[in-house]
Amino acid sequence: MTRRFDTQRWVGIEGLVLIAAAAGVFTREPSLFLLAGLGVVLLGYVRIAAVPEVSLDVARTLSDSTPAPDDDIEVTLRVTNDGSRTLFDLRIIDCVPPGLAVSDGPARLGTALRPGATATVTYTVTAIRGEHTWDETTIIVRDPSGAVECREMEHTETTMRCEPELAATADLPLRGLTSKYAGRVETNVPGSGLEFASIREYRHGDPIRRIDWNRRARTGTLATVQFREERAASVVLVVDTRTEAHVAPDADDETAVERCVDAASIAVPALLDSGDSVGVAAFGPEECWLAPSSGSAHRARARRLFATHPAFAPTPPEKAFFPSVAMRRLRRRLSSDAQVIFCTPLADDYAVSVARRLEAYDHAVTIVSPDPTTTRTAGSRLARLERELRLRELRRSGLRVVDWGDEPFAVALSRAESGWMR
Amino acid sequence: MNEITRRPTRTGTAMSLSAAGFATLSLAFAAEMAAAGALVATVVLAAGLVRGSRRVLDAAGGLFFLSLAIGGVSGPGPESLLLAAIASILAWDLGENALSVGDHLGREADTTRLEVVHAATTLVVLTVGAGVVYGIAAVASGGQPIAAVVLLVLGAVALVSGVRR
Repeated sequence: MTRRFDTQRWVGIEGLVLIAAAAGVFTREPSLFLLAGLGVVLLGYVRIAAVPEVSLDVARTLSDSTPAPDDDIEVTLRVTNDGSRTLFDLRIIDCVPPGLAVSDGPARLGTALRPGATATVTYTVTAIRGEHTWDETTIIVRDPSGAVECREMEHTETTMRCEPELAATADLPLRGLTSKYAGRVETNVPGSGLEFASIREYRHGDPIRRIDWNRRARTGTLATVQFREERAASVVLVVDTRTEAHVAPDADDETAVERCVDAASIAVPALLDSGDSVGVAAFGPEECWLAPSSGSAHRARARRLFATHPAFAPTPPEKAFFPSVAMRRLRRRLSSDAQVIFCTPLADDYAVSVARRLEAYDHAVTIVSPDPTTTRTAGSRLARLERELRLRELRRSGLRVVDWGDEPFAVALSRAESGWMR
Repeated sequence: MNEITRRPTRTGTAMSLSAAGFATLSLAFAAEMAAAGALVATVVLAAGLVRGSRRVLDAAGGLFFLSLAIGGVSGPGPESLLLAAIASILAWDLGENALSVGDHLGREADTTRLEVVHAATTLVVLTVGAGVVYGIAAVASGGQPIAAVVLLVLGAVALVSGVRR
């Protein structure tokens, strides 16, 4: 793809030459003819100028193609002139993938290149979660006089995959809805366990260990101690990835979606460690579903999903979104004993209605909500108030809410926990 | 960090203003009026580079041309006039180039090589051209009818404009 065009830089030189010549005639002053002569030379230089056939070899290398989040990655772009002519005016602009921020050195260079010579652009980007692909490099070539410009796009694909370690830094307490498997969520079902629940009359077949021998000694009758049974839960983490959730306090800050994914990637290993089966879903235009399961392979799958799935990309989706279709699909996929942890900034009322509907369908819902609001302007203060009203409404309908401000997730969690009823 | 400052580059601005200063200086020895005009043009050029405005730069170019014309009429030697002409064309060219490079690449990018090469090629072309023009004028001085010279210039412009790019 090459475009050549006139930069219109030297437009009007002809006029100036003729004016100088005319003034020379008028005043019979030979110096002015010299001026006109110099103008003609310049005009000739501009007219014969042409951009040679541009043939460049572009290569890009990353200092690490699978970095950890927040690592500084050095990107080196080498541009070699493969043509037979010198490029006098070469401007190189490397297109950095959206979502990545250049932290040091511009990704641009202006230089002149002899045949076979190589120019190098080096800059540093800060890695963030996700799969990032460099592709285009814009090349602008001008002839020495700058009269003709030629633009080209060189395509060189380079991919960086940044997968955060899933580390359980906070324990997320679950609600009472459980599956039939043993685990760590205490239920009200009497049976074997740790916490005392009740005593009932001995029935044939009860284990000897659970017979209340004190009572036997006191009254002579047999009784069985019952404990609260501990079972595993099946949990689905639903991340709000709609355009409405791509909000941040400041243009440079992490968006709420990023923080939701952070919270989810803390919760997944914590839940897996405690023996619960965990699934992941995205509530947004880009579809993503990982059915609840457990095990180390599942953990690796979840890690890969959070890092590279387009649904969790740091930039807002471009597809159209049909909320009722997405809702129906999500409901169909959730098994009846599945709890839901809904990660959303609660930036609009629809998120509230999603949470309430899931709760109404008996999926015990816990909401993890990173706070994207500020108090800087009147508008943002209004947004904060609206969000607080939404939180209050959800709490009143019996949902558990973790309101996550600037503090670490574990701090927000323990503060929220103290307000919950067991 | 990493906001692009789309303003004329520092290297280009410095080179352009130096050339403008040189133009003013070379006129100052010959014609005061012309030197004053060139000084005004230099100030306008500086304003154009600070504001990053192509229109102001072009105005500065026009003012330079005007001062050169005044210099030509008031009759200093052709040598200093040609020198001033080279310097003022260079000043405008480098200023405009700095503007376009700043627009494409921003102030942070390394553009020294590009701009030095650009300045060098323009300087070489203008110097050689001025030498040729001066040589022709020296050889064929005196006696030509003015109409012939005018037709020569007109013909040259028409010929050069007809060259296909």
